[in-house]
Amino acid sequence: MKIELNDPRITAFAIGELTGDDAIELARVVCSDVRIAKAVEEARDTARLVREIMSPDGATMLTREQLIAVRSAGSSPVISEIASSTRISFWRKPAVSAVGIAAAVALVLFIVGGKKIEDSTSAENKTPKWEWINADTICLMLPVSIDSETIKNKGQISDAVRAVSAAMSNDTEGFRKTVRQRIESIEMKAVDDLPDLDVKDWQDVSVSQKIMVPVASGVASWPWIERHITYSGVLPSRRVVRIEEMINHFTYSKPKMLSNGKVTASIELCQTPWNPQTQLLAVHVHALPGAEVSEAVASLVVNSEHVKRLRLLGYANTLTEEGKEPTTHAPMLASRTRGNYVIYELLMDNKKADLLDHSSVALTLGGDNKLTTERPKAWIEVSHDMRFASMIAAMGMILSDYPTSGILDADQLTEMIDVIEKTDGASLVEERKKGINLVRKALQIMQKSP
Amino acid sequence: MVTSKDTEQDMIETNAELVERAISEYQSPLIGFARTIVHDTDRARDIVQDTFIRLYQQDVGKVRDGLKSWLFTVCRNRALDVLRKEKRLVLVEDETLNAKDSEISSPGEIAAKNDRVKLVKSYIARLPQNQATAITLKFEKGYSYKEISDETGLTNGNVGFLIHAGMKRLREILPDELK
Repeated sequence: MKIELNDPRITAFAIGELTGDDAIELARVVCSDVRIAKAVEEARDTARLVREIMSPDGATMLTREQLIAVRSAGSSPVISEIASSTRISFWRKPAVSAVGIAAAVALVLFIVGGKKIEDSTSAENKTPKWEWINADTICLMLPVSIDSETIKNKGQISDAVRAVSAAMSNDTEGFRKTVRQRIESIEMKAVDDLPDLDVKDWQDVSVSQKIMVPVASGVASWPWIERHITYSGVLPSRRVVRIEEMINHFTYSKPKMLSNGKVTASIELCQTPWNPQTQLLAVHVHALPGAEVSEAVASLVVNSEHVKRLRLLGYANTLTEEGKEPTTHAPMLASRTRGNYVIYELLMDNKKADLLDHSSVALTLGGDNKLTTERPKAWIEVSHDMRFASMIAAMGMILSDYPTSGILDADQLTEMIDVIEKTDGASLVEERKKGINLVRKALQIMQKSP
Repeated sequence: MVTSKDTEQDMIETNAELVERAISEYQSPLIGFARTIVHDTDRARDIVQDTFIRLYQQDVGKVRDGLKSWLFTVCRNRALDVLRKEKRLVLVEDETLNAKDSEISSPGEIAAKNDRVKLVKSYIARLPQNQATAITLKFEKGYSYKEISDETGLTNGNVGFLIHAGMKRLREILPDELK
């Protein structure tokens, strides 16, 4: 069934007026198309409101929370006694109760176990089907890189992370869709089970500083933020505000500035719009078709004489001590279909700020393959992609009370959006328009908050 | 229901799809039905929630042909379980009196509800006349699309379109405090 968002059958289905084959088909679409599912829920919300107010026997629909509980039970249905005041989601059942993220992931490992199941439904598709699809929702939402302090049992957790990492690499769109669906149906309280990540604050740049560029990002952040803002009208919990995930929710032009046959990459440098003392460095890395994703590696070489300190806008821990490997234990496999876009903030040596040039930062893909930056441009002069990505990063920094220098507040963010809409308006794709709308809604909520 | 063998493979439903369809078609009549047994709206909703959760455990092939009957049977059994558990299987007269007491609103609540009704109706009145009529018949009078079609002379398709367009517009114009 082909159905668009403005199809009257959506409302008919939401209020029980669609029957027979049409209902069967639309139920199928609801289960497979998140946009249509959302449209049905919106119609139901309106119907519920109107019916409850206007009809004497008004309350004839389940509440949104009850619908979520029904759908959550579909993953691991356990019939409990009816409790009118509590709904127990499947992930809170005794088998999944966790004392910490390590325990939850270890339990998931019992399910995932690194096993492969042959896809028996498709004779032509010989690709093993990972059990990640049955993994606990919390595992699917784990950040891509987990540092050693979070891990209690390195061996077990890294197996689970490998399974999820492989899914993110081999079936990126399927993984994104699954995580989104799970997030839309899980209870809001699930955010309390997510790790509280330390954002990476400024780090001094030492001589011969090598920085591994993250080649993958998780996918949970933006759906959670959407759910908080759009469905609940509240600002998201800090635990779900992950800047690199927010940035990589959106798609960007394929990088072309540097390639080694396995990876292609681009870098861009500009003045930070909210802080004249720093610069933003955008790095975009994309595995090429046919490349072994484990070979998709890129690193930055930073001139410590020019750049005093830097930080990744996000949580990934990829800064190495001189000569040592990064302290991340999670294999970060690049996606076969999507690149990874990250932003660093650089703090120059004040005395040498004017010297920031092509010798300050270089991107390398190994060997002699190197790309250096030009002098930083004004923010308004950089690419559409960098303007948009940095605006999203700014939103994340505000939402998570990121330690910032300079002035980054709602007004600054509004100004950035206005510039983007004015300069890129005609070329803004639907995905980015929706992103901007969500940012505006977040700003409205902030203005209403005390 | 699909009977054509040619489309049988296409029309095989998963549990999730069956439950979505069941929610769409039966949540309202099931809640109404459960309420006649337990005389409490919140409990009725809980019972129906539980019924749909049980549906997930079923073999789709075995229940889809008799879905309505299955749902109402399970719903009734759950409702009676609730009554037994809470020892509310009392004399019918007492039960009816208790239910009536628990659902009486205070004068303040009644006044507040009347205000909300007036407010929502004022927003509905801003819609084009035919949309407002269709929505009022549907949600205030409880008419089905077919009944609205018979009442107004419009086709079923037109009725569906008017309600869809009207609801969409209402979503846009209703103030947040009413949502």
